[in-house]
Amino acid sequence: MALPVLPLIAATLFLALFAFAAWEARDFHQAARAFPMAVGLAGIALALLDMVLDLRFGDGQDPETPPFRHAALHFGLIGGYLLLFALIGFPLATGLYTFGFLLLMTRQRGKTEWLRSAVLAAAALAVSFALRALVGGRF
Amino acid sequence: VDSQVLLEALYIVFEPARLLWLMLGVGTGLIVGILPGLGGVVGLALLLPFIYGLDPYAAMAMLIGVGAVVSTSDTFPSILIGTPGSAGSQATIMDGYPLAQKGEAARALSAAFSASMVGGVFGAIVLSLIIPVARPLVLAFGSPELLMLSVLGLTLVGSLSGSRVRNPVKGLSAAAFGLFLGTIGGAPAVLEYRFTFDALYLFEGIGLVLLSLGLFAIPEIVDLLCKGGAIADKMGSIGRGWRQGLRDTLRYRWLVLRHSAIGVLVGFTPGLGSAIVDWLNYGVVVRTSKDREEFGKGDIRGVIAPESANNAKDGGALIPTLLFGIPGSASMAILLGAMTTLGIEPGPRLIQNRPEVLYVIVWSLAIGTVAGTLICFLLSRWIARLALIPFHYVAPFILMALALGAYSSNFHWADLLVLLVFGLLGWLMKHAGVPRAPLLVGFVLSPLIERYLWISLTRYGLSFLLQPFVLVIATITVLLMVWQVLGTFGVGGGSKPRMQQGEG
Repeated sequence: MALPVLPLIAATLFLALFAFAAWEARDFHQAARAFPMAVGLAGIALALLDMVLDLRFGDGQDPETPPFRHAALHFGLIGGYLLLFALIGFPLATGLYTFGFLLLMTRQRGKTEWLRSAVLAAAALAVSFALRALVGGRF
Repeated sequence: VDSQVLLEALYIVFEPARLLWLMLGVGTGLIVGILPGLGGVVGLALLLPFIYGLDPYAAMAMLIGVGAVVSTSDTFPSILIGTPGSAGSQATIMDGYPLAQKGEAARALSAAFSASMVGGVFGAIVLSLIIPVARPLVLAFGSPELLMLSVLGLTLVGSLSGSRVRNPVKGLSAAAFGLFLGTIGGAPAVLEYRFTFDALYLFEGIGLVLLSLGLFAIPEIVDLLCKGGAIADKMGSIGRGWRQGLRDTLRYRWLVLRHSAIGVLVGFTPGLGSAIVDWLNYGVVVRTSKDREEFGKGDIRGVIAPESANNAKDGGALIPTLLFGIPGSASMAILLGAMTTLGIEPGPRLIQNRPEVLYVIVWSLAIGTVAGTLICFLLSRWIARLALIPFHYVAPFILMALALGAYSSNFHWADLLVLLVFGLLGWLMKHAGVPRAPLLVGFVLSPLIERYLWISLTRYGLSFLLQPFVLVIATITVLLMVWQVLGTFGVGGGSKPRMQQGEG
């Protein structure tokens, strides 16, 4: 039987965070302690039970989970876009990301679409300037 | 129904600027419904950042507009390409797609739209009728009862929420995690900041916008991109039969009303989301029909029943959300959070002090449903083509809206980091079979539950647990949990726990 890796990772993450919540709550003022402490302790019990159930009865990986490599690539691209946003501002980051992303995606499909990518990137740039003006900020 | 408040609310909604915002919500709902994989939660999360600064009625109209139409527009991909537009239109494929393959897509769409419209309006009417009836009951509830109702609602959402693996422990864990996330920042009872690591950014807690966008939108975008290509390479012709579809809805009018009523009931029950209402109604119509041979091969009743129910459920879902402040699903949690942001507190105070808000929501739901249906009828040939656009052309624009929405929460670079972190968490939860809706509901309810708990304890001490309503609700909650956990361990039903395939 395959080990249910993702469910176990999720349960372990929850367990660690609930343990942290319960531990930290000890030092809070009495009126601020009860609720996070109760949630933390209940959460620890639930996460442990979940782990046991996963280990005993888990049925391996979700068949709809995309290959990890693909998911990591797209999370990396999104992370890169958000980093660009923080570094060079929203409109420029959006234009650059759209152009680069579309080139990459179309190349992966066997036909790099330079013109369409450039046109859509220009459109994204224009929309992002408009949205920024709508929100009312300079970022 | 208080007719004066009802008319006042209609007047409020029909103010041109508010109608425009409502239509913006309807438009957004149409698009996210058509693009397979996205759905009402993503649509609401995308619009959430834009409510800041809006007048509360306009903001509510816009958000309700999204929800009102997603269940209608998600029918396009279900019928035309056999891919559900959202979780709420999965069962529609069973008979809608075979009808399209027979060249009767227009008939199926027409029947689906008209049944959806009747269902949506039915839900709005039930909601408007429930408000005055429930008013005395709601006003009789104090903090102890509201605390127990919140716990019951959260338990229901946690244990019943759909996921790949039907294991209530996962849903309850997610709900508890949401409660924990909701405690980050200032404590309600005393001046103390919790889990902030002395970072000023966390002093006001985590924003609902960031959490909902990260948990629901980013994982769907990543998964759709991983799938690659267009959702469908080709789409059959819509064909003819628009009038026939309308005639079908009229012919099966009692079926439409029956399933609208079931939809309202399911919507009212926290935790039973769109996917359940859809399949449940499909199952009911198949079982209760004498001639079942055509189901699965293109029986129009298999389209009408789930479609009328999944639109009617919105009216039902709004009942606990508005009257008791208990959201039964992720979209209702976003709506509740938005209301709190706008300074509207759902629950007894809303009924007491601002009843017109409730009726603004009722009208927005009804108008949004009708407008969305008419748009679907009029522009169907063009709207349907949206489902054929390869997702990688759309993704940068959705991501742009996400990033802007996230950043406008606090105008701080950390917003972008938090968005990504919750995106990763959402993806992990999605593929680990942990439902995400309970997390969001827990997060939204966390400050309310803590406040109710604090008020109950300071006012009554532990004796609040002995109040009659509290005892009844607590007993139901405990029984429900025991039943769910026993079911998980297979007590009474064999040794293997019930961890079967859920609705995805």
